Amino acid sequence: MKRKVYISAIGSEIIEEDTPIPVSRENRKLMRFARTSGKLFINSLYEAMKMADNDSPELNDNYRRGVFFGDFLNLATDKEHRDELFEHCKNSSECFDEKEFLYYIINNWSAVEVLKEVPNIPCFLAAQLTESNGPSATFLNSCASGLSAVKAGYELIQSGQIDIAYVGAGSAKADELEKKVFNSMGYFIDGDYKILNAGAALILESEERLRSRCGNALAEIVSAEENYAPDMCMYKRFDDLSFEKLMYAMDIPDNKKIAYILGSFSKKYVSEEREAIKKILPDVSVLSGIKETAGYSFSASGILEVTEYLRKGELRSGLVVSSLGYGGYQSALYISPVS
Amino acid sequence: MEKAVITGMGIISPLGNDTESFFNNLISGKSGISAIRKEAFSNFPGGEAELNNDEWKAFFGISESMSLPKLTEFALFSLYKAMLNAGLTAEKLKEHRTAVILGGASSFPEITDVYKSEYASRYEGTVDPERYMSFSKFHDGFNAAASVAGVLQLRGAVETVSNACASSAFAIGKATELIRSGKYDIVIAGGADSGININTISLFSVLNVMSSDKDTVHSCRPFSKSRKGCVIGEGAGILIIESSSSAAERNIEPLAEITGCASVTDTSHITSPDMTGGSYTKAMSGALESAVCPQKDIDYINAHGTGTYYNDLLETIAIKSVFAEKSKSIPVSSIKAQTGHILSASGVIECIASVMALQKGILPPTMHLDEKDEECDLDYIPDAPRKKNINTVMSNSFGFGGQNTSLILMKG
Repeated sequence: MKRKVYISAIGSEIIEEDTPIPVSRENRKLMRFARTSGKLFINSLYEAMKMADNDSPELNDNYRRGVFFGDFLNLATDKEHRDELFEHCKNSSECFDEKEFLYYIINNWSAVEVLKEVPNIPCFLAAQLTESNGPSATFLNSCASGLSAVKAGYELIQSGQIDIAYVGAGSAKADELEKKVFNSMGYFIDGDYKILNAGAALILESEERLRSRCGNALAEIVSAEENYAPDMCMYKRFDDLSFEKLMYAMDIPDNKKIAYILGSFSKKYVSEEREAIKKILPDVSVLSGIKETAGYSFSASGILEVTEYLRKGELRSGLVVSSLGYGGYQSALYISPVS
Repeated sequence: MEKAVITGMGIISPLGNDTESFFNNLISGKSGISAIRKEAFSNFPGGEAELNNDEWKAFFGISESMSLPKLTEFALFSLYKAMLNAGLTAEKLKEHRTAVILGGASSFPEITDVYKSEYASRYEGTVDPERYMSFSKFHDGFNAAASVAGVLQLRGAVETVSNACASSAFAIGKATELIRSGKYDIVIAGGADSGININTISLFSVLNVMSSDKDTVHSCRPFSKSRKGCVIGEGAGILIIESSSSAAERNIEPLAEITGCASVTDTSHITSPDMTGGSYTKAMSGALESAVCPQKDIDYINAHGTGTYYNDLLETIAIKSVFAEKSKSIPVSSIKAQTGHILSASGVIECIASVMALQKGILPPTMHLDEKDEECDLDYIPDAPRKKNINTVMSNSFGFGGQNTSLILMKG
């Protein structure tokens, strides 16, 4: 039988401007190895762990714990390191010299700098922080990565393979070059979402584990699904058929009061998404979410919508959050008040 | 519960671009390692793969002139071979509930283009992103899985998992669970990677895990006392993992069954494995448990065997811990001496080697085991293949960053 899965704690961090990401004294050592997205995830996870304040390691010894992380950019070298690298290369040769670049890194950088390049390191750091002993994984599913991480944790708890899942995502604000690449495709230009540095995390627990520590739940996960939108991948257009399939797979009842937060990564697709969800769930109340008010955060966007909605107060009705990402990756999460 | 069986395999590797020639080269002791051809990296040994035909493009309806990122090409080529092997077409895949899970790139060859673009952006004024790269090259990390689903017009789950060197093994494990749960009929699983790029070569050099041996062909010597580290490689592998009922309906004979898998995280240290071998032990024991397979039934272990001092020592300790007195009688080998370490694709490529060993009854050797290490004292099948009829194989993939996965495969 499938086990019930609850969200017991949340954490998030949004940094709108180019200010350094705060690092707490407790996590300073850990954070040396984290790139921007990892720092944002770990700060969010740390906040969630504090929220679940009776989450003691002694109690955890009896339970299997996993970590699942969603990231967007796998080349997000910290800017200060790139500045150093590029300045050196500019001073030593007329044009870009790959060999010069390579040997500068080999001769001048330490493990701290090079490890930031490795996509799964934030996941390792989070596993270390949470003393996790079970599986862990990093998902690079474009903007759907965060909710894919939630789905992975949810399914493993549901099937009894783990009892606790620390799930989250982090996303570094696009740098100048990436912005230009996005802009060349018509995304994130005037009128589209503003791009944020943001991270978000959830602690998911089985009912049994939550009861054993007399913890409170913020919401119950009813379903989590993902699928692929080939039309978005190949033709850069909203994929009605895949969206419909995703929503039907979620098993959302049409007779209950449900809020739906729009998940398209660009405003270009919002009206089609709104129409599509109204066709499937006519009574749903459609919300724009934090991407409209604060900005968009790629892989963290889905989880961030959940954390910011739950921060507003007690969940009184069902909530569906989707992430319809660049490249065709799609995921969605349906949560409800604790029964 | 549905059984998860392998019905098709495709590969591109330093030892060949089809499963037969890959395995024949493996058992004949051929090395795919040489000095890297690209001038910037020519001081390093590497296992390079070369894609020299375009027939796969026609199969997928991709224009011959279309330029794709290298890892996407590797993944699509391997997919093409795997689909032919499994007797599948895009139409047939669409008729089934099909998902895609690929192990993602640790880094990617186009990183140089990204750096070039950034250099131009900073010092040459205006930037035309198309000058050096397309968006897909910029995001090659998740592009391969998206392209696989895109060309096949699939609408099931698609995931790119980045668990360092255990990525594709983790993907295979997850695919197995999806099949067993009854949610999907077919999962396209595997991975594509190339360590031949600035980021990976510098990473391995700074962390001092890259072999510095001048004799490039023999530079990777897993389990040998003289081992000096690993050699990076490149390639891809794709498996068609299918429910046994779907394979039976299609009248396809399975190549092997995936009976067990387990993934654990080693949080002891960011750059070193658990010095007791405990985390490797947990992955192997977990896989046996998940397969409901007693340790006495394992006939061969395809080791992670990177050729680094600690990996080989701790994997040996872990095998002894899991298999106790039987450990010395189980043949163990690492193919990385011949292929190099193909990072996130190593799990799937070694899985293919294991399936071929099951089918042919020939165990691939550990090459260049020139000096016996008293601490590594298992039966490593040194220097020559061994004929042995086997039924059950364990394949280990231990990732940098503590993500370790073991798989159990049985004859189909």
